[in-house]
Amino acid sequence: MGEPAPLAVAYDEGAVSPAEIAVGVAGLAPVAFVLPHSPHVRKLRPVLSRLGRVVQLTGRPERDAVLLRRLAPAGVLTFSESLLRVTAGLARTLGLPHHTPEVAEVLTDKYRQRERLAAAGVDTVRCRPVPDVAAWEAALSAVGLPAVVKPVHGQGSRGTFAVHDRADADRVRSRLFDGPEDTWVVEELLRGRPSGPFGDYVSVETATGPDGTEVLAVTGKHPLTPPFRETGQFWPAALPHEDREAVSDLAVRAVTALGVTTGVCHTEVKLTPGGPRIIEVNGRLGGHLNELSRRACGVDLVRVAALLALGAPPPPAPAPPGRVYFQFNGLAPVRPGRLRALTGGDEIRRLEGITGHRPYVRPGDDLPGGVGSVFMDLLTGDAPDHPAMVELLDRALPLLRYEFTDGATTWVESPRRAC
Amino acid sequence: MEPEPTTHALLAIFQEEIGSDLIGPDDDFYAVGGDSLTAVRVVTRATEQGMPLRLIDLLMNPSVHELAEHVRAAATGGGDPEEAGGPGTHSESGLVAPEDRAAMPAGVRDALPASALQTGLIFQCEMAEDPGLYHDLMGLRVTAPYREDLFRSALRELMARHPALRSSFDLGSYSESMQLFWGDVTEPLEAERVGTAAEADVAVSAWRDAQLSTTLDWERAPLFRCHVAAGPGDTFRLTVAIHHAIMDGWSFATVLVDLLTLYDALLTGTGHGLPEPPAAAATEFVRLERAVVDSPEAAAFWRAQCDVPPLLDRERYGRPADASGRRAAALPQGLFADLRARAAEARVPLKSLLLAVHCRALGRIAGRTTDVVTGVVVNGRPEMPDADRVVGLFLNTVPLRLPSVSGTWAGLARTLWETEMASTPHRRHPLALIEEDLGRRSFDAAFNFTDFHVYRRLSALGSLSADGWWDRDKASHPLSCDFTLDYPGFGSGLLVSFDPALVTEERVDEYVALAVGGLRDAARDVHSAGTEPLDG
Repeated sequence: MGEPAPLAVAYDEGAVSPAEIAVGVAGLAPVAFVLPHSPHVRKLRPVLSRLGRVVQLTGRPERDAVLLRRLAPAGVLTFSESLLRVTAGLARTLGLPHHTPEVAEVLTDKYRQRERLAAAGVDTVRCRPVPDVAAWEAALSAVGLPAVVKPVHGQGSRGTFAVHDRADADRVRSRLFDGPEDTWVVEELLRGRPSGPFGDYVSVETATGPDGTEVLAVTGKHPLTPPFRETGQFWPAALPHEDREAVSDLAVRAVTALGVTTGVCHTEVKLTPGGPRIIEVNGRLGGHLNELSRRACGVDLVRVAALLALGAPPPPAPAPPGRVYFQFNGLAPVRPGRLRALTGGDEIRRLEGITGHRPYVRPGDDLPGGVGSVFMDLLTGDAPDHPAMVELLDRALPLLRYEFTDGATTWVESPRRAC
Repeated sequence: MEPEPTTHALLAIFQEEIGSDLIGPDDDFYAVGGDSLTAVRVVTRATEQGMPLRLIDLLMNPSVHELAEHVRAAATGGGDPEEAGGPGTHSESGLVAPEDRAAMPAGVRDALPASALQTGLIFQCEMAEDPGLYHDLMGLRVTAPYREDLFRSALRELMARHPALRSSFDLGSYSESMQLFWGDVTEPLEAERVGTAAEADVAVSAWRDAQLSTTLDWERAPLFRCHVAAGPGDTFRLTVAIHHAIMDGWSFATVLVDLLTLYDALLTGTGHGLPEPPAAAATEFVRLERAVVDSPEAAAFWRAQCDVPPLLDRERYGRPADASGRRAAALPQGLFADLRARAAEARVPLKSLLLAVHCRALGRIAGRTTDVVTGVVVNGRPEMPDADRVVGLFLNTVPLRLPSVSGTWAGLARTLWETEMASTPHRRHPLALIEEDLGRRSFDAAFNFTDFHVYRRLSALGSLSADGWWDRDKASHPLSCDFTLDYPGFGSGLLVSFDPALVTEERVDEYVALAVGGLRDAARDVHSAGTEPLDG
């Protein structure tokens, strides 16, 4: 009796952990985790059910609408790319603020997103869908080389390929449709400008409410490990003021062009010699950013997203931190293998400036191999400035050692900053 | 006060669970490698050691120092330890996941995954937003003294005997939908005194109307209600309302008969003699149903049965049918005896012969000679001794297609019998799934053949007798045709309910006339091809 209406958070593997959700939402509304059937959810159910109510979805929209109507939430929200469309459908049923199903569709379909951005004059990147193998050659010649091939839905973990020449084209073609993947897109490869020890791309977090879109932060990145493997990020980005303005302006125009009217978005932007270009817009908070934001500025971005979902206006952007706060992710091996040991955590934590080391995999875990962005761990720290961060990472990373075995052989890797 | 014991104990737990001796009391749980699942273990161990913690406490106070401070503050302020849940015994079937069982509230004695048949029905009710849908009532007049204390005792005994009467549903909180069986549920009885038969009528009608305008909330046990209007003299009127998700029609009859049997035993001070219903039947049903719910063969079989143009104009189907119209045609016992003999001659069950008559009549009123689809009620009750004593939802209604209505009664009955035989392995595939896969309703008219011989047990009771039976149920079909034997208060014959907005009264009357004519014709000569012309 009298229990306040919950905030329904559609949860699966994504940008934010259950713990961060519970902490971020605490005091605003009770959390109700709305769950699809997935191996990740099955594993974390004991955690989720201790942090809030749980509502298991059936996967059938009419039935899920019934369950959500009974839950009668005050708002709905997700931090999982894979649940954006489902959440949009539930929000529409309940009449709550969120991306509309149409906007969620565009946000989760890279080809339609490019079309929409081009039509609005925000950015024109040549792009073609490849629904089947027959469409491959025509798509490739329309886009031209060099090109990049990505799955039309979802994130890079399943594989993003660069195509520089004919040999690449044939190799990629043979890999595209040998699994149960859905459609792919081919895009013009955006070439970054020289960016020194930093990545040639950044991401922009925006908060959209009834009065428009605010930029919450521009996040700098460590260089990609080829082909497109991410290794972490930092606040603030190492950008001159005018570049920061140009990047922010582009992200706000992109989000607006896609029809976003509410919530947090994460826009990735390539820094090219001709100016910033859109890599893609995601309709939710970026991965690991909440940890960075809480540590750097004391601002909880989960709470920001929750407030927007509850109909509150977006808060002002966090003040830029006086130091450089960073995260670094060790990459899982390209070769499939089982983790035998992960050592060096205690030593690395003793270094001045390193504030934490959290493994994501445990000895005995099997790793699938491949070139997606599968992370071994999260290293966190801060430094007086950007060069000091680079110096600290180069000292710290060799201390971490991952020992793998594939049954026949055993090998050791340490995380590395790409150059 | 040197080594503060709470800090010391928590630090030991942190170090052991994360697996590092170097963790200090100021280290952040996550920064030193903790994760959510480790956090759950930390909280569980701390609670076991007398430091009651919730997971959120650890997340908000992620270092040992902060957490120890929180534990001390909670101890002085009256902490809020997490409920150590877990029902008493039941559900050792292996069907309920251990973490689901552990998360159940204290009052739950047993749990079972809800069947797809049950969840399908509940969701259908919710989507229809009609409190009367699948909210069934039965009433009767009992000639016996009404002793409230004894009647309440009988009702409590009935609820102890049939877990379904102590159950509710939870469709979202666990890894799958659950039917929860509670230990202590107060018997849902409303009783009033009346002076005359007319007053009894008024009391029964008022209670029925009030009942039908309220939803039985499937999240709250019990999912049934009883009403007694006591009087005049040594008679009383008993009405029972149920949510169909907890029991089928046969079970409903069992509930009434068991209740009266228990009450009679208390009145006469004798034993009731009712055998224990086998507890494993409900579990077994869930197991059997699971085997077919995800079966592509079952889905394909049912799609082939119903994926033909429907009999009724779909444009008028904005909502579930409101089957408020009724027709009844009583028929002599002898006619059914003859039909049984003819069915035996054609080497088919009586049900198939009746179904043949139904399909041809249905085809005629719909103007169809091919692909006549009808819903047929099939029994999915597990085969085990005394399974018929168990109260639960075991009846499914499935679409069956008769490709052509041409031929002899025997031939049509044989085709339908063979189809039903072929469908047997798939018969527990719930209607809701068949229809969700099809994207529409799979049939417009439902057929049922009932022989509620359970009621015959009442004639053996010592001190009471029952008459004046009535019932009210509401399915979501535009037309429901029940061929029934020995139905209390009616006898044998044909009972039809329909939605006048979807099937006109004239059509229904035509159907009844054709069906009765067909029954007589088949009883005369099962090898005849019927007397009415087939085209048109």
